[in-house]
Amino acid sequence: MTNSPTSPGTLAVFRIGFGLMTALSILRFWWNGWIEKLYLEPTYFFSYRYFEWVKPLGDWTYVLFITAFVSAIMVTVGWKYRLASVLFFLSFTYIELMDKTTYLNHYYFISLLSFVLIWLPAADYFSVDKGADKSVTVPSWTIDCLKVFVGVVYFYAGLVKLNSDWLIDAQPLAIWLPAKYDIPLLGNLMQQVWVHYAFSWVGAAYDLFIVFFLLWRPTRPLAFVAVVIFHVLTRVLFPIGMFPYIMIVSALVFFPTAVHSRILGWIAEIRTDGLFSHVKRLRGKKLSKSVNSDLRTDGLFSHVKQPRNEKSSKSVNPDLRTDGYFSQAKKVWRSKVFRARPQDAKQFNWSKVVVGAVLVLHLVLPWRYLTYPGELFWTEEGYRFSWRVMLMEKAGYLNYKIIDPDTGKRSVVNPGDYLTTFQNKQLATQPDFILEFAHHLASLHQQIDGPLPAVYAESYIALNGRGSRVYVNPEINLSEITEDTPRIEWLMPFEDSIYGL
Amino acid sequence: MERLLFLSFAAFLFLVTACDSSTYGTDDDEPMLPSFDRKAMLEGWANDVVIPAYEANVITSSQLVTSASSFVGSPNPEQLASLRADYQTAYLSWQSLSPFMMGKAEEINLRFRVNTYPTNTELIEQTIAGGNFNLELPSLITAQGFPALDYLLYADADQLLENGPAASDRREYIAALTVTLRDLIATAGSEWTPAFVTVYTQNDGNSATASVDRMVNDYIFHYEKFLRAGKVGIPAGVFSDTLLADKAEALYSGQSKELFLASLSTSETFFNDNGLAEYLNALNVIRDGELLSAKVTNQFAAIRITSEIVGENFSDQVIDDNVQMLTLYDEMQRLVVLLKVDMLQALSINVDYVDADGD
Repeated sequence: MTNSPTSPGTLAVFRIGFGLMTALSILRFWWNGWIEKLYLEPTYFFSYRYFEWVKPLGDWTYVLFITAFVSAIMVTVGWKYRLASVLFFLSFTYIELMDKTTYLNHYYFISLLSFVLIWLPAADYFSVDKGADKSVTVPSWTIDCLKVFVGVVYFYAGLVKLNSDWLIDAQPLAIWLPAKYDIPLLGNLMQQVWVHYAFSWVGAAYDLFIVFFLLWRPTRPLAFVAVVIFHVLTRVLFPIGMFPYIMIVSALVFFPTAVHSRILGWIAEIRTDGLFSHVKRLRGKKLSKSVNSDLRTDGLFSHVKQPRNEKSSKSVNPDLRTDGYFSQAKKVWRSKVFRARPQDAKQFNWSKVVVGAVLVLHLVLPWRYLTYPGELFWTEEGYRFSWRVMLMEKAGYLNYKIIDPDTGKRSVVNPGDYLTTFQNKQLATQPDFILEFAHHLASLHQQIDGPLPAVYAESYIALNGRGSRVYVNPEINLSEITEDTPRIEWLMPFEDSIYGL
Repeated sequence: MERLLFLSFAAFLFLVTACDSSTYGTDDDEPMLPSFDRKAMLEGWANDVVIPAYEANVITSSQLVTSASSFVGSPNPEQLASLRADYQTAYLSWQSLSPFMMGKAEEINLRFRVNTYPTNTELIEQTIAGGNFNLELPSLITAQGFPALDYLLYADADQLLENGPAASDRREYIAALTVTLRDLIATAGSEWTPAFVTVYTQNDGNSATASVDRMVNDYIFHYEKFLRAGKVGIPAGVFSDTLLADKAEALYSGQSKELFLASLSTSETFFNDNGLAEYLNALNVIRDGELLSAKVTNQFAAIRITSEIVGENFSDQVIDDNVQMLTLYDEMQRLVVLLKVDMLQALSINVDYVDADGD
């Protein structure tokens, strides 16, 4: 994590890859009709604690998605980068907070990364903002911190697989893989018990060690091939959307700058017209030349560049506008205007502090489960935001019983009548959902009938190949339980042991 | 190095495009397991379960039409007795078909038009008195099907034997109900042609629309909503604050237990003998040291044994001693959990497919 100047290509590639993948994610989300299905059609939304105020905005929800998409594209091309990265972080995170039904680790990963990217000079090079001035450098910590962010995701995902369900019982893969019988070539293999174990163990080993193989030069190319194969395989086997692609692109950060220069070269070559045409032209000039006035004819670019060139030309004698002098003048101007420049110690420290703080959060948050009593897989207290991916197969069944304290009248509520199938499915297996909806039903009852009713849950879940068990203690009135009540007090005890992390 | 990168990206793109198209939808490759043949299970469901059930129901409902028209021709106690007997046979027969509502049957709302109860007696009287009626109207769903016949044939049946236009309108209405019943069943059944069965059995993949997933979902849905709740739970007041004795099936003829047992048999046989038990065993699904299939089979048996404590007429039973009904309900509820939680999980079948990412 040093400040030594490094070539900016790596950050540029990361920015482009990240922006493109997230833009595609959003496009895919819309294309699949999920905006309507997940955020417009439901009448109730499950909230994250402290973020109860974040709700879908009706038809304005589309504006959120459009903002996220446009800002992702702006990040990709590096146009008004700071603004774009802030907009993307805010809109994307807002979307994710609207309903925790849709929580996925990789959405959290995108939110986290997009926040970090705000503080990195990722658009200093190969961008609409700054062109492709090869003499630009970025401090090496800005690249190293991304390696840590991506690396921790893998490593933690590997650590949490070190438990008896995963390693000794090959769960939940032993349930999931046989269902993939209709996959060409692999279908029959998926039925073999040894394959379930092989996938479990190799998966854990992959997550634990891949980062180290990516970091070590001799193993890096092969490790990247492994990354591609691993993620494509997960894509084939499981419905995990864009996550594999995002991780593959993220893994590029481990390569040296030379590779990124080549990737940028390819991009420039592919783009014969349009937005990137100037980059190609610059390449033709070996990239060493300064930004030239012919760029002004380049549509979007000229629009951005013109004012700046005019501005800087004011302070520069037109006669002196030779290549060398001009680029130097530009550099001076830039270092003054833009924050997070290595030359500007005060600003730069600030971003380093912020990124450092997020990094600490990233490292510590997954361990918060240790402060809660009870089996994590059973209570799920501290399960989210901890890179626990594909660790649990939980199926549930849930009904509520509402009893009016005054009349003693009771009614049975099928939550499916209020929720979408997807929400109902998530509700049945997760205690915080069960509690939140119990409170919601209680308040609905209060609005109509007055007194706060008693709410009881009749619930069963089956976890990782264990037989179904009663989940919520059916004797406990959930109206009297708060989010702070330890979950072991209102769930039935977990009558088994899962060893390990 | 560069080449390696390129190669891995090429492989990646290739796999992505190749997989994207094949993971979803149906495919005609050989998706069969070495250990378990899903296609054979589906063929069994089509040829040994659904088609025979339609055939039987077409016969019994046609017989019902015949005896109803005989009764219209000569309204005497003998004809009424034979009409009632054929009604009972047809109603029992319906229990073998009721869980399997898909395609056409779903489209024409077969189950609702055949067996929505409690029937609306006022509406029936109004409709008969009004003369002109169209049983296709959704508003008349509660005035037709077996429950309407149950009312007309058993509640104050002496009216049927009277002379005069009111009684003959009543008899004509019965005849019309039986014709509609038969036509609906025949229409839904006609869909199951050999070509349709081929399509059905070839759709043996693992997706929302695959035959196994849909059939199992339908099966469990029927057990939960119509057998457990409809026949037992609702009259016993499980979902309400009061007993709802008049919501029992076959309220007027009182044959509710017989219908219940017939429906239970359909569900039980479908699980034990038509593939699901075998499928679970092929996957070696053991829960708490016992084969899940055995747990389900035993639970069916436990329900059957518990049902011995309740009387023939569930409506009377609810009024006389509802505790017995609630005991039966609890036993049935255990099976819902085994089927809906344990079995669906073991077979990786979603409760009504959800189209979204996971992680």
